[in-house]
Amino acid sequence: MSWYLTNGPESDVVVSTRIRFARNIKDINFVNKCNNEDLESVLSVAKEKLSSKDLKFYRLNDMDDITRISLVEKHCISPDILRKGIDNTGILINDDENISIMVNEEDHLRIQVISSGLQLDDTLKLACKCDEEISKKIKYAYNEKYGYLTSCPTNVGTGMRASVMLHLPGLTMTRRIGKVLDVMNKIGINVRGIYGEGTDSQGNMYQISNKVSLGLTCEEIIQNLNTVVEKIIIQECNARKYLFEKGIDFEDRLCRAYGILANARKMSSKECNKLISDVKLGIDLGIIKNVTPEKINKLNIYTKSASLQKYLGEVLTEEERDIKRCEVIKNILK
Amino acid sequence: MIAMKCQNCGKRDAVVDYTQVIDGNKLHLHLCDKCASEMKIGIDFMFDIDDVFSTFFNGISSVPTAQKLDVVKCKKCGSTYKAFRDSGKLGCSECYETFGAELDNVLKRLHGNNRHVEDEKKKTITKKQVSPEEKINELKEELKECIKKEEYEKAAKLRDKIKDLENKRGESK
Repeated sequence: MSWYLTNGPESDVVVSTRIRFARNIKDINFVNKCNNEDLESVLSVAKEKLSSKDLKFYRLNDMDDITRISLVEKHCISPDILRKGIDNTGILINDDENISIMVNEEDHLRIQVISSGLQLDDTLKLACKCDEEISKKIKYAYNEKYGYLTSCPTNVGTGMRASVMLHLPGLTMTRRIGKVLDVMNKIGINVRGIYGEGTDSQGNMYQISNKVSLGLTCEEIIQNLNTVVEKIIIQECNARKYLFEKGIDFEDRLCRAYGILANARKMSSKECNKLISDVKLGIDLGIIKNVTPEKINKLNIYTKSASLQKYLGEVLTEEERDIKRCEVIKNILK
Repeated sequence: MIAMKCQNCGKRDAVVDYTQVIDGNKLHLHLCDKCASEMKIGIDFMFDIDDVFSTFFNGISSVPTAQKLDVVKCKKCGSTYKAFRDSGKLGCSECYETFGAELDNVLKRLHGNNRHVEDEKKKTITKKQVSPEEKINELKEELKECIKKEEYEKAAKLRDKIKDLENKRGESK
């Protein structure tokens, strides 16, 4: 099953865990200094050496817009790759969509493994396995001094970015989130919006990741991140407990959110994200009992603009989407 | 004059001309007031992303040296140090050698470190991979290729290398 429909450990706070390795092919200029010919040769190396029955290769310019955006919504590709132009770019992806390799984004290869819930160790293991397999087929740009060489020096060394997507409504509602984010910044942890760099937070979701990729081993980096995440989980649970004990207004808010989500006829994606966040919180606190966490996972993905159209197999205008979104929600909650 | 529509909502007239640079990726957008404020785009925001990266260069060199450095060019890809300072991106593996000394300072500021530490597990794997036997086999394959391509000069060098390794292996046994 696709990772985004399953529930992992600590899934009441941690939505997903992602490990990404930035890799470049030896003796080919980095993407920003590649001519068309170079980029095409990277694509054909990726296609010929890395694609298999389980890992299929696609060129992004062969896909329609909705498919491409739905891949962003599922975190299989970055919004950046769409922003900078999709000619000469590609992706290798498996059926479960938990393993993907972006080709010719900022680096020749961006290997990514994603799991639901908090699973830093297992995700790293799988990512290392993929990386090792690839390194048998492709010679990486690597040197002993700096490790894996990347186009941007912020990624050099391990080339690894480990990120964890957190649902933090408690800390947001109690207005403690600012302080938490501040502290994280000081201890070498990045906080970003849900689609990574330069994006906004939506529905109380925050993505945190390591800043440092050089001078530490992958294990050390994820250990540090794990420690931070565990501390945040405790803080978030405390905040939720405080809100829960404060009185009926909080419970009322969550139940009302469910009422609107289940019964509205027209809804923007932004409103939908907010309501799903409240309903998820209600389920995790045991206030809302008739919705399973799996249904929330489905809502989370199929109400997103492109995924919604993909799910329905129709191309829709914004207004049509807002209406159909409610139909889809009703169907899932049934 | 027909006003340009906002590139985000496509409905309202664009009034904000916005350029964003993240890690060297330039993004130009024409936006309406509403979308611009929703995306938290204001005057202040237009400066900070470039600034964040350039602060890592501040105080590294005095101005005259920085100017001298700016024209240093990578032999392989032609990137200049200035281009790196402006975009935050290197052009190829060789750039890491070309700009090595200055880069060490930048890396120290970015990561607190400027040397890679290899995972213990990976180390054993790479060591295993380059066992003499495997290395010899690898070179023999390469040799075959060279002969096929009629690159005899390279082939002769490879043959010497193989002989050398085989001798060494004999000694250690």
